[in-house]
Amino acid sequence: MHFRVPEKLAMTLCLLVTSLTGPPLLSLTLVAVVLLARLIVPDLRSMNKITARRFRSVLAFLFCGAIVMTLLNGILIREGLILFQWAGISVYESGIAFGIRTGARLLLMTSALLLLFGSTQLSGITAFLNRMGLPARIVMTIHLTVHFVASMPSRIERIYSAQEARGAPVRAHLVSRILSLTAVLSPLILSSTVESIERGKALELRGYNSSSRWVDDTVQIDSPYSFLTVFFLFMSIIALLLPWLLG
Amino acid sequence: MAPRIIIGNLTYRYFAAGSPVFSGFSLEVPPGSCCALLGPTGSGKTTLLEILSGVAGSQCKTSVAEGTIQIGEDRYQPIPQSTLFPNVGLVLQDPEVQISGIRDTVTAEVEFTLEQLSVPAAERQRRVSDVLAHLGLSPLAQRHPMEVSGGERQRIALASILVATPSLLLLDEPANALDSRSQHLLKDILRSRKGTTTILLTDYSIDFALGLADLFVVLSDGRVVFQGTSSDLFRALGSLQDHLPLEYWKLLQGRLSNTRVKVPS
Amino acid sequence: MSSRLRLQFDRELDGAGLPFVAFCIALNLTVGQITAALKIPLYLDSVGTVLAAVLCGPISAILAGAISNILAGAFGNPAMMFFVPVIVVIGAFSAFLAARGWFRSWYLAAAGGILQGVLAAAVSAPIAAFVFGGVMLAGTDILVLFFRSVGNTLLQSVFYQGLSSDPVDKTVTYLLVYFICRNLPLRLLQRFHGGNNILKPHTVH
Repeated sequence: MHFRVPEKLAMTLCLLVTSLTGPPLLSLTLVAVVLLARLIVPDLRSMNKITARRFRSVLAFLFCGAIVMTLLNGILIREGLILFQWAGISVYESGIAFGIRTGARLLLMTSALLLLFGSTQLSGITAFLNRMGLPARIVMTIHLTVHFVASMPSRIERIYSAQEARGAPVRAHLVSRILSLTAVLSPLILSSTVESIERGKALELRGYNSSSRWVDDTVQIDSPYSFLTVFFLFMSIIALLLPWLLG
Repeated sequence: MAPRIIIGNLTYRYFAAGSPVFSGFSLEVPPGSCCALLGPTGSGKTTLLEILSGVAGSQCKTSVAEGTIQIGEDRYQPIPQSTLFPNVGLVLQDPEVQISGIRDTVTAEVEFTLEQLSVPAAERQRRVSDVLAHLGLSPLAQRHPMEVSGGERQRIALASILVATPSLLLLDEPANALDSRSQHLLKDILRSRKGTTTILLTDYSIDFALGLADLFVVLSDGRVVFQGTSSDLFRALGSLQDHLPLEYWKLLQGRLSNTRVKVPS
Repeated sequence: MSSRLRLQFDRELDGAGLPFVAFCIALNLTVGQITAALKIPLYLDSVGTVLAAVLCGPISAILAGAISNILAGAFGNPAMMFFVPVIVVIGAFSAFLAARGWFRSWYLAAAGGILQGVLAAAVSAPIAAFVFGGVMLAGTDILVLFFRSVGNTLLQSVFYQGLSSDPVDKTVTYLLVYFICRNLPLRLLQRFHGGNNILKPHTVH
């Protein structure tokens, strides 16, 4: 069973629709399925240690957060039966049910998207979407964004240190710190604007212009038609109809 | 075929109300030759290359120009309004920005240029492999383009333009921040293109252009204050003192005196 | 895509505009690092979108906002993907104000930020309420719960929570963009279609 870009996109769509329409039990079951699939299906494994760590840490944070929020909902939304009382605090049924529903939804959404982006190169996804009609300039924008994001922490660090060395009030009280934002953001934006203008020139000087119909064919593109793709798309429609099917 | 360049009476301003970068500027560069543009910072060297490449006309939304520019058979009045790639290729001063940053290998980076030109995949691979071999980059073909040395990055930037085989090659300070070995390598590459390609390069300190360029043009405040061979330049240096900032004049004098024996007559 | 929209798309995302929009998206995604380093309790995650709106135009702003939220989802915050409509409204609204000269003076920019904050709270409330039940697993959830516990509906509670933070956040965002653009050198401003959104009409000629 091969999960290529089209199958993964269709699966993600199916999981996202289910997270919005399905009951919490189904969402939590699917979260477990996602966790299992990530371990046993080679195509769904994390690409590298960073994505694997991100998957684990984000899900662990969300899981703990969901439990806390469920409890807080149970305490603060005082509707329905009291499930239990402890030290004068009552926990209500409807609040807990609400917390579980939204927590399960967030967990499924997150795990579905982390599974997609953790196991697939962004260039593979954009190249596939490009072939399916996403304009070349949007694809180019996404690629350049990834490049800028990668270089941003070092730029910010450099400017932040320089401003601190010049005596900018980066550790003073809140209003001064907000004012010092301009001192940090201005050089960052100025240098990045100069760089983006130079990059714009460089792109045009390599033949890139508004009429470019560039398709990145250095990335192998998968045919969108397969049993799994059709299956997941069909299941997405079923998931969309779940509220009516379950009454 | 290498084109002749004729710039006639060019006047160029960034803004209508601003002072001119060039005023009545004229220059002729013979086909297949290598012309070095020298001059202090702010003399208009880079702007001239940007005008010739077409990127100035395309991107400076408020600029105003008069005069004519002829590149081979093509005549532009006053300046090209869109980039003339692939006929004209400009290698920018900073190779880091010329590298797109969106490809993971040197091969894919150079190939990106040909994708813009809709060259078929098989021909792309052949041309990329040829240009990498020509520039001595074959061993780096699978390396990440941002994880190489400064000299190698400069050659990758050059490869990304040369792969489109421009007949007019413009280079903005190509020797900037290159060690002497990389400079020699780059000089050999450019020498091998002379004859089939007209080359215009800017060189603040003349070192790189000596032994490579056939025609030396000294700019100051957007005017041509000298044009001729390196020997002519050495002879005329005394008369240029009034036209150039003293510091820059001393730099030229020092460099030319040091390398006088190597200067071809 | 209609031909007028297509023309605007081509005009804004030309060789000069495209890398700048990419930088604006990167700024949206990473500005959190700066606010965290300075310990400022604001998101400011639409600063790139507003910057693109002012200097490039509405299509760039909408694109910058939409791609920012989608990539934020890809980088580990999937809830952001559902707020694409909010950022689209922010982009369109700030481009609308910029074209009418609201970024030529600080007080108009501040007023625009307050309006933008109210609008953002109104558009995000239904999404936060109906998609996430007001639970975003962030510190602001406590405020939503507080408003609910004192008898408001879920939608009201989420809207009130938005009103308590969005106007301040967007006002600071607008003022930042105003001050930064005003300090950009003329030679850089001239490269952008929206340069005149910052300059007073008599400044250039």
